[in-house]
Amino acid sequence: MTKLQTGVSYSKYMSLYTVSYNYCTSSKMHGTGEQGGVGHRSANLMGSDLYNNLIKYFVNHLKTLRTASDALQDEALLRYYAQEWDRYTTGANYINRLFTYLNRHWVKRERDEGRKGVYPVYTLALVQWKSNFFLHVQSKHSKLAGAILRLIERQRNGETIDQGLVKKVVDSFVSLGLDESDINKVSYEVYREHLETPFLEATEKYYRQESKAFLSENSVADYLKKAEERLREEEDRVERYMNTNTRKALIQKCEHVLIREHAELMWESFQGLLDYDKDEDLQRMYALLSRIPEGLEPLRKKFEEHVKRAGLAAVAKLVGEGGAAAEVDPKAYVDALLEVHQKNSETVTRSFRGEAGFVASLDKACREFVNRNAATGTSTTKSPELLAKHADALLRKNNKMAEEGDLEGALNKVMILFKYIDDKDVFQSFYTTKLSKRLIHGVSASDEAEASMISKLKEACGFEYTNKLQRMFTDMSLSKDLTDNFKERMQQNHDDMDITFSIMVLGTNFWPLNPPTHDFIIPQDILPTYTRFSQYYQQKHSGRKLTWLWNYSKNELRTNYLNQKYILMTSSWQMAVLLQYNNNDTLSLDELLAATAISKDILKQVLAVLVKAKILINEETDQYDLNPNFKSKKIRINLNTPIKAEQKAESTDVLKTVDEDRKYVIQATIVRIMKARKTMKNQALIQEVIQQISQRFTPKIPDIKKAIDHLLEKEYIERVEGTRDTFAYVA
Amino acid sequence: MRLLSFFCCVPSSYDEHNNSSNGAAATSSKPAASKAPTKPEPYSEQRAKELFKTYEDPETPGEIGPEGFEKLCTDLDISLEGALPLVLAWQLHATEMAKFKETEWMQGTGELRASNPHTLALVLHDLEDLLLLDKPPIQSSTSAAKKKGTVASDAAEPYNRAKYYKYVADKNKAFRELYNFCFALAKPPTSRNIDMDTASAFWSVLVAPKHPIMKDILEFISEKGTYKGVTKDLWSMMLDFCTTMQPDLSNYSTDEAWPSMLDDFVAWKKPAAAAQDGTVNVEDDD
Repeated sequence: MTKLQTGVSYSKYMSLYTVSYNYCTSSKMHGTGEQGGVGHRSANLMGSDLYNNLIKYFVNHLKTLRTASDALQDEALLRYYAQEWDRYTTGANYINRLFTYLNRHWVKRERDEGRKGVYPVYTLALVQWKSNFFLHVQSKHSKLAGAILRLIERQRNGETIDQGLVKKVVDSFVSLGLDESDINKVSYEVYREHLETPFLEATEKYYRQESKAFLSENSVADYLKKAEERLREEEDRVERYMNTNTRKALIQKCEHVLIREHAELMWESFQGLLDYDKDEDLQRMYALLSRIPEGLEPLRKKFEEHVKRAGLAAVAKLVGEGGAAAEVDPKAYVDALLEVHQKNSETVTRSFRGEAGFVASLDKACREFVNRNAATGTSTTKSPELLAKHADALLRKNNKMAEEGDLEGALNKVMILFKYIDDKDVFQSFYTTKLSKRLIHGVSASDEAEASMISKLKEACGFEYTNKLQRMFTDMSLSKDLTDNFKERMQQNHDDMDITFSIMVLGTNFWPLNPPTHDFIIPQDILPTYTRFSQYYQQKHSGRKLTWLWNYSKNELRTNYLNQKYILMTSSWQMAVLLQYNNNDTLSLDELLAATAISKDILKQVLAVLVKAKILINEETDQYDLNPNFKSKKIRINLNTPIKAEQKAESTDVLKTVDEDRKYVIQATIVRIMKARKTMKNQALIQEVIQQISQRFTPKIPDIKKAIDHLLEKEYIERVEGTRDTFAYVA
Repeated sequence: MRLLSFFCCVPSSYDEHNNSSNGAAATSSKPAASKAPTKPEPYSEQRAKELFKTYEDPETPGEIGPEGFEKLCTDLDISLEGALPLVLAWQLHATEMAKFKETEWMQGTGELRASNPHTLALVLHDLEDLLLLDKPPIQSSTSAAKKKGTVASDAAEPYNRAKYYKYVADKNKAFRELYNFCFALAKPPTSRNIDMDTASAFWSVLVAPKHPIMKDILEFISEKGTYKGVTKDLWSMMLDFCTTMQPDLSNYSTDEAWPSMLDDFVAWKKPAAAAQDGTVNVEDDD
C-alpha cells in the first residue's frame, strides 16, 4: 500500500492470491484458538484470522496518516487528505482483488448468516478509513468539512480555488457512506451529516448576511441582478463539486434566503418598476418570484390594479379634455383603451412570459375599465355603443384607413375590446343599426371588410349572434337581383318608365328599421311605379306583406324650371313636398299637410331644410313659395340631411330594444332550462341563467326574478307544492 | 290602510250603507254572547231557505246580491270592513264577492246546520276567535262526539262543529285554506290575477292583525303605487313571507325565491328602518 507506483509483478500477485486461497480452503479448524473479535464456529470455511489481520494492517496504516495530518490545516489538510485518499483507495482496490476468494466465501458466508461488521475487503478498507482516520480528523471541530466550507466561502467571495481538490474530498465523503444492509447501495449518510448539513447552514448564513448588506446599500433592481447571479453560481457549484443530491436542498435554501426573505420588498417595489416600464427588472423579478410558491400572487394583484388604474386614467384624461358634458369621440375612446391594453399586454408577454395568471389579471382589469370608466359613468351600455360607433366609422367608405391591411388590423383591435365588453347584446344592437344604415345608404367601405368583421363576431359569439347580420347581406343581394328583374320586366311591358327605380326588400325580423309613424300620400308621379312594383312582387311572392319605409328612401329630382338644371338629392318627404310645386308656385302649410299627410312636426322640419337651402321661400308665416331664382355652385345638391329629432331618438331606441330583447332572452332561457331540468331550485336556476346568458350580457338578478314572476303568472312554471324555492316546469 | 273600503270593488253606491254599520263593528262579539241564553230554533232546511229568501236579490232570483249580503252582515252584526264577511263567504262556498247562489247557501248552511242569523253569527265568531284572534279552541262537549263527529253532537252543540274541530286540528292549514279561498273569491274568472286594491284590503284584515310586517308591506305598496295586480304566486308567497320573516327581516336572504315585489320591499324597508328607527311603529300602533 505504500509503493503503489511500482505495482506488483504478476507472479507475486499470483502467489499472494494462491496463499490466500490455500488459507481459506484449508479445512482444518486451526487458528480458532486465537480468535479476534470476528471469530466463529459454525463454518468450516477459514478466514477470520486473515480478516482480522487485514484490519490490523489497515489500522496501522491509518494511524500513521492520522499523526501526519494532525498538524495540517485547511487547504494543506485537504491536499494531504486527498492524496492519501487516492493512494489508499487504489491500494485497497488491489488488496480487495487479492482477497477475492475470501470475499467470495468466508465474507459472503458470514454476511449471509447475518453477522454485522463483516464486509468485503474493499468496503472494510473504507470502514476502517472512516473510523480510524476520517472521524478522527472530523472530531477536531469538523476540521475537514470546515476546510471545505472555508474554501467555498472564499470562492463565493470571488477568489479562485482548486475545485478539483474540493471535488475529490467531497467524493470521499460520499464513498464513505455505507448501507449496512446492502453494501452495494450508496448511502449518503456520511456526506449528509458531515458535509451537506453544515454546508447548507453556512450557505444560509452567508446569503442572509450578504443580501441584507447588499440591500442596505443598493436598489432592489440591483439586488434582483445579484440574486439571479448568485442562484446561477450555486447551481454551478453543485454541478462542479457537490453531489447532485444536494441540488434541491441547496437551491431551496438559496431561494428561501435570497427571494422569500425579501419577497415583501420585491412586491413593494413592483409598482415602481411598472410605473417606469423597467422591463428587464420586471422580467427578473418575475423569474425570481416564480421560483417560490405564492411569490407571484401579489404581483398579479398589483398588476391588475395597475392596469385598471391606467385604463381609468386614460379615459379620465380623455373625458377631461373634451369637458364633462361633451360626447366622447368613439375613435379617441377606443384608441385610449387599446393603448392601455396593448402596452400592458406587451408587458405580460415580455416580462411575465405570457404566464396565465398575469394574462388573467390583465383580462380582469381590462374588463373592469372597458365597461366602467369616466366616460361611461354608471351606464354599462356606453362602452359597447362607442365601440360599435367606432367600428361603423371604420367600415364606412370615407374612413382614412387607406389600405386593406390597416382596416383589417383596426377591426382586429375592435375585437380585442369586444372580448371585454359585458353587454355584447348592446354592441350587437348598435352594430346592426349602423350596418343597416351603411347598407341602405350604400356607404359601406367594402363587402370584404364587412364579411371579415362578421366572421370575427361569429367566431367570438357564435352563429346566433351574427345570424341577423348575415341575413341583412342576403337581403341586399336578393334586392339587387329583384331590382334588375323588375327593370327588365318593365322594359318589356311599359316603355313609359321615366323613373329610375331601385328597391330593397328587407326582412322585418332582421332589420332594425321602423316604418314611418304617420300616413303618407304617395305623390302621383311615382304612384304608377309603386303600384307596378307592388303587383310584381305580390305575383312573385304571394302572401308577403310589403311595408314601405318611406322614411329610409332617397330620391333624386331634376329641376326643369330653372336655367341651370340641378339634381336635388332628397328624402321621400322632401320629394313629396317639392313635387307639389309642379302644379303650384305657392302653397300654405295646411295645403302641404293635406297633400302629403306628413305629420306637422316633421313637415315643418322638412320645410325648414328646403327654406334654408333657398329652394323654397318662407316670407309669410306658414306660406311657402318656390324660389324661381334658385342658384347653387354645385349641380348635385344634397338636401337629405338627417332631421335632428330622428338622430337623437336613435340611441334611446336602440337601448329600448335591447331592454325588451333582454326580457325575452331571460324568459326564454329560463323556460329552456326548466324544460330540460323539469324541477330546479331558485338559486341554481338563477346561476344557470346567468351562466348561459353571460356570453351576451350580464343579467341582473332582479330582472331574472321578474322573469320568474312572469313565468309563474303565465304558468310556464310553478312552485313545487310544499316548497318555497323549487320550481317545476309546467308542460 | 284601514281607510280602504273593504268592498272597494263593489259599486260605490253601497258605500253609504257601509258607513251605517260601522258603529256596530266595535262591539261585534258582544251580541252573540248576550243572545246565547235565548234558545234559537234548531236547524231545518226549510228555515235555511226562508232565511235565503230574506236576502235574495229581487231582480236575480236564486242569488243574494251585494245589497242582500250587506244586509245579512248587518243582521249578523259583523263589520263589513273586517275579515268576517270573508269567513262567511268561505264557510258558505261563495264563488263571487258579496254574492251567494242558492245552492251554495243551502249546502253551506246544511253542513253547518245553521239556519238562523244568531247561529251563523256564532259560527263566524267561533272561527274568528280560532283563526284570526288565536284564542284557545272550544272543547267539544262530549268526547265521543268529538271523535265520531256529526250526529251525536247535534243536541249539545249549537250547530255542527265538525268542520270547526277539523280546523282546530291544524289551525295553520285552516287559515291557509281561508287565505287561498279569498284569492279565488276575488279573482275574476277571465283573469289570472286579482287587483292590488282588493288584495291590499284582504291583507289588511286577514294578515296584518297577526303579522305586523304586513302593515309595512302595505305601506310600501301604497307608497310605490306602481303595483297593479297580484298573481297567485305572490298571494300565496305573501303569507309565507309574513309567517316566516322576523320583524327586523334579519332572516331574509336574497337566495330564497321570494317574488320580486318582496325583494323590492326588503330593499325599501331596510334603509327606511335604519333611518327612522322606531318611529314607524308608533304610527302603526294607533
